Amino acid sequence: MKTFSGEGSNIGILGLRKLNQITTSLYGFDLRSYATTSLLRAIEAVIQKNHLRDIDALIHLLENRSSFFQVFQSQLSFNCTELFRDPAFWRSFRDDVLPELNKLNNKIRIWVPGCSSGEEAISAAIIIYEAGLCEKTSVYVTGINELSNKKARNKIYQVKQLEISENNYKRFRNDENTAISEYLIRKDSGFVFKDDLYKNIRFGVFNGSETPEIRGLHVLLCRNYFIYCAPEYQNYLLGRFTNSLIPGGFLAIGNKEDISFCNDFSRYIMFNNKEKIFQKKKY
Amino acid sequence: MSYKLIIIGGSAGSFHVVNQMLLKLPREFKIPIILVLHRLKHIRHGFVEALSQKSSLPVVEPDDKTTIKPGNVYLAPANYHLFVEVNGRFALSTEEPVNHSRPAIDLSFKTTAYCFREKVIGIILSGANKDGAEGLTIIKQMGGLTIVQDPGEALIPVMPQAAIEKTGQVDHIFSSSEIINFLCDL
Repeated sequence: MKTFSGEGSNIGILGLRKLNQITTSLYGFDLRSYATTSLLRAIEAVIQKNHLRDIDALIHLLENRSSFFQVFQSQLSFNCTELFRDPAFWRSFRDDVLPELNKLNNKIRIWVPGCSSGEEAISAAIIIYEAGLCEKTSVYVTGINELSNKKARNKIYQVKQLEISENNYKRFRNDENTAISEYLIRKDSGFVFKDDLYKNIRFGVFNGSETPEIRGLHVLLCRNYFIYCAPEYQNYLLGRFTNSLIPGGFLAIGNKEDISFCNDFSRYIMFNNKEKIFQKKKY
Repeated sequence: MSYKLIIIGGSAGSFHVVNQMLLKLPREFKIPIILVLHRLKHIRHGFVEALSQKSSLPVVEPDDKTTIKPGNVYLAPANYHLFVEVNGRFALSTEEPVNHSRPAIDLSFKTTAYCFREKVIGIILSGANKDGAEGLTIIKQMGGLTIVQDPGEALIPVMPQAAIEKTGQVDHIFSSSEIINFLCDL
């Protein structure tokens, strides 16, 4: 039997199986949809954050206090830690993808599924704001539950955290003199993004199982989400995502993610190979 | 051949050693090699090309869920952590940097140790921080073979020194040419 350990705690595959039995039977939440290593690391972090002794204590808590489940679920979600990650991707989004969509006379609908802390959505919202497309664009952000949405909406950034994002933004704009701080206001000990940016962002819940997907989408910003999914689950999700996109709609994945093994891969053409932007075939 | 995987961690001062190694390893070298080298997060391209120039083995940056195959050299991509999973595939992660690094050597080494146990060779080269010390320790604990570049020879001794101290008893402290000869003889 293989065991995983680290950060002072020990979680065996057996422990993981027991945990999954509880989350599936009591809450209908199947942990097998997650990529194993990341899941184990996330569970270790949950155990630490909540000052639990070990995985058995976590299982006990989930069995006996159902209100803890939402906390557990939202703490499992993975964070992208920076805004404008991969500036070259965002340039292509601005210069190649948005103009295509602007040609259409419809509202532009963008979905960021599994956006645990909101960075991808805010990056998109800033670009849309700068392109003057606020009026005709909606960004749907879905977290795994209400709690994770609240976290994303009210995230307070510390100056130190913003350093990387600031540099990314300057690279994106190709201008040393721009500053992402234009979009920030002080709150408590850190900063939050101005309300203007949230005007077009709608928060919802998507946990991959029971929730209906958003239809008629033009863009799916799905970068670095599949890395946290088990292969079979990624295949299943891509199917659902593809159905959500209009013909000609765009799918963006992380620059080191791969969908070529998924059934729905054949429904796309490559739009930007380097930045992993795909376009759903028109027919 | 009893080893199934070689994993190498390095930072400042390790590039030259890795390059020499790739130059000398024979084309028929079958054991997959994973390189976890600290690198600038925003420079995604050029590193593989630089390593490929003199290498007789193909050097690739694996995508998420790529299956580890013999005869390949895998370079951990920029701005992701690189894990090895029980199913023999790579997995990536964007979680917080560890030891100020993403990729963090510790994380790749640890996951490799858990999945491949005594079939792993872990090697720590020159570098300026302590990343890799804990990972190498776990490789040792799981029964793998541990090799560290001689700090006296390394361009920057901090990383190999830390790995030697933390692991307690590394199997070999080798000069870079000894490391290369050792691998060629496998």
